Amino acid sequence: MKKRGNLITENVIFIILNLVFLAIMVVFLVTKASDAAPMEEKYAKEIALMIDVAKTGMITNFDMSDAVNKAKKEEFDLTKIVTFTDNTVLVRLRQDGKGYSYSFFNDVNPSFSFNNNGQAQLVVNSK
Amino acid sequence: MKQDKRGSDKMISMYWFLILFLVAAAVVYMAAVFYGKPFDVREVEANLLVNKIADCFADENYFRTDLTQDNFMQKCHLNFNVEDEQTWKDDQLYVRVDIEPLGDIIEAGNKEVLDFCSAELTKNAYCIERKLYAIDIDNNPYYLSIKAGVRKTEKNVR
Repeated sequence: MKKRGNLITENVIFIILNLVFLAIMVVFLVTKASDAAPMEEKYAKEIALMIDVAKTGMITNFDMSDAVNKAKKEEFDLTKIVTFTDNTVLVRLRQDGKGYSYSFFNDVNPSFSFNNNGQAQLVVNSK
Repeated sequence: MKQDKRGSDKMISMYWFLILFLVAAAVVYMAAVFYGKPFDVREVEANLLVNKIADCFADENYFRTDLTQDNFMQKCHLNFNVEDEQTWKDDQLYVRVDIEPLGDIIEAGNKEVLDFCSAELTKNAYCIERKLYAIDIDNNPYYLSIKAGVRKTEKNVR
């Protein structure tokens, strides 16, 4: 009986350790995937390309809820997530980072806004 | 005999954890490679630049004859200034338009970008050339060759 008990305990510990390992792997991948840095890069480049392809007066609506949720989690001012300086867009999702900037060649005057659900609106105005 | 069996069980566990360690190392390496690489958007950017120039030259379906070297950037609404990144000095883009039969050449940006165009996309500027025919309002034909180069290597390749 004692041997049988030992065998079960050993197997249970073995399975638990395996599950712990799996959980660590999943947490690592989820953390990496929702990291702010690649999200900033992705949105900065996407917005720059949207501006490049746009004609003046064009309005583009798209989903940025994951970035908004990230910024909320980081307690970052939502109005400063997307900013424009000359012909460069800067996307920032956290206080301690400098964000990611990318330039666009279309000589226009873009403006950007969010609604509460993280739906973004990009308006391309003439200069 | 019993001692041997217990010993072999422990050996299997040890190898199992060695395998887990190798799997973990592979996952971490792959994640680092995947998320460490920037998104390369130069191909899309170069295509958009060529499309914009083609649209500008063929305004309302007719070839525009009022575009010159001096007013090209302004009339086509182009701005080649770039963000402050390492040693960039607003020299990351280049366009050249050859217009036949006029023999005119209109160019803007950093000419050296085209010198580094190569089939090996990863380390050099991305370049594209597109040719098109157009007619002006009097039905005179024109042949345009538009070349565009986008460098921005530091932000698109690692």
